Amino acid sequence: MADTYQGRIQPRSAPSPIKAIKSLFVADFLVLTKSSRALIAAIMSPVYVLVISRSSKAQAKLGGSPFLLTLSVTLGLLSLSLISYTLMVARDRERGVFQRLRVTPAPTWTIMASCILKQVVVSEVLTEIVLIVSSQLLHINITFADYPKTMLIALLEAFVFLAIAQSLVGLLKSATTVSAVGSFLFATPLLTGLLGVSGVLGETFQSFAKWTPVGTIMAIFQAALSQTQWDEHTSLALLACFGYIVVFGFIGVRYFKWDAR
Amino acid sequence: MAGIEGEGNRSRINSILGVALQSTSFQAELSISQLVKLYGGLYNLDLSPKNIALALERSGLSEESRKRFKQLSGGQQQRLSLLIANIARPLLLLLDEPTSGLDPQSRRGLWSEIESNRRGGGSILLTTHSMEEAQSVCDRVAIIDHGKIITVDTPQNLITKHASDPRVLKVSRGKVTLEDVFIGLTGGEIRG
Repeated sequence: MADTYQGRIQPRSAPSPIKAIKSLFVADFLVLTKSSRALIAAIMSPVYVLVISRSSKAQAKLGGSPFLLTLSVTLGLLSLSLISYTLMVARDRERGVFQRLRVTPAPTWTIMASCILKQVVVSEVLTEIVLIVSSQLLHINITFADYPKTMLIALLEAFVFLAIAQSLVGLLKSATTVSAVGSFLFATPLLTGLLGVSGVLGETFQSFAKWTPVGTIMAIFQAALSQTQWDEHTSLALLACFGYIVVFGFIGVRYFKWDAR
Repeated sequence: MAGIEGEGNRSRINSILGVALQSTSFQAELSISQLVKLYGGLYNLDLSPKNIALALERSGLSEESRKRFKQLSGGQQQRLSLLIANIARPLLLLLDEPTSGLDPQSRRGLWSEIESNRRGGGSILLTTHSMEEAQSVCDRVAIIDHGKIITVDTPQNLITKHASDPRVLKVSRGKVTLEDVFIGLTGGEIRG
């Protein structure tokens, strides 16, 4: 459309979804760059894990370098989803930012699509950073073919955690409560998945933990990084991940309120 | 509205509406020129930097173009809200208590802008608790009590029509004003 602001011609058409997402995405990204503390924390925490565990002794005790790489990516993506994303959505909802956007002609779904798209892009960038740092610090031989494979699994992981985060902001309204529960959930699945999968809490807990979101993702990650074979459990873990996305995503969309009141 | 069915046409209806709601806000981290660009895009306008600068100048915000929304004063925030509500020159502009919490100078400044919008064509629906504001900027005033319109007319006609109403005279402190009419018709008890 021509630049019509100066003229008297009134635009009577709503923007296309692509144009609306483009405008929203640019704005969301600018907001992200200007409130970067949560983003820096999300990137620094996996890098910190890699730095402290770079000695071969530590790597051996912690389950090997592919496990540490998986752990670092999972830590970063969990932090991005359950802390950064939930807080941003809850805060914008409380401020009335979403309600202001909803009275424009842009299709409503594009508002949330832009938020999710931004998270996915940041998740992929974070994974890329962790891969590069891992190859340097843990001396993992990451081949050219490993990059797209890892990015694809990171995408799946990002969607699983974003679906959980979306269900959190769907079920809870207050930004303070979302922040508190988000921090709790950040630690809980991480510890359940990690400690459970490692087997230190016993076999029963191990068989439960390997079906948790973190447990399934770690199984897929490790198989993709050729530490373990792609077997029936890995295929079922992949199915479980899609199940988590559908169930939590449904809850997040069904119960989400644009207004905090 | 304007020949468009409301049901299932939210985007089309919103494209002919300009809205400034009291309870909503903009992204606090964005500068005001970034906000104008964003909302221009959402109203299907491709605003060039030159046109954004011109729009901000018209609203007296050119010096604040690089400031973040959260750094603006209440009056400047309301002027930006009005600018964005009016960005696509809508057929109907909905303003929800646009001068609430502003100092007298900012309030007068905003009234002038509302006047200028009205002269530019289109209609404005303004909700306010300030009868002074209603008297200053409105052609017609509807008094609403408990969700029902109890009277509609020009501000002057409302005063003339209800000047001898005992309920209005009871609350009046001298010459009957629109506020006396409002309180007289809606009752004196404090509302939540």
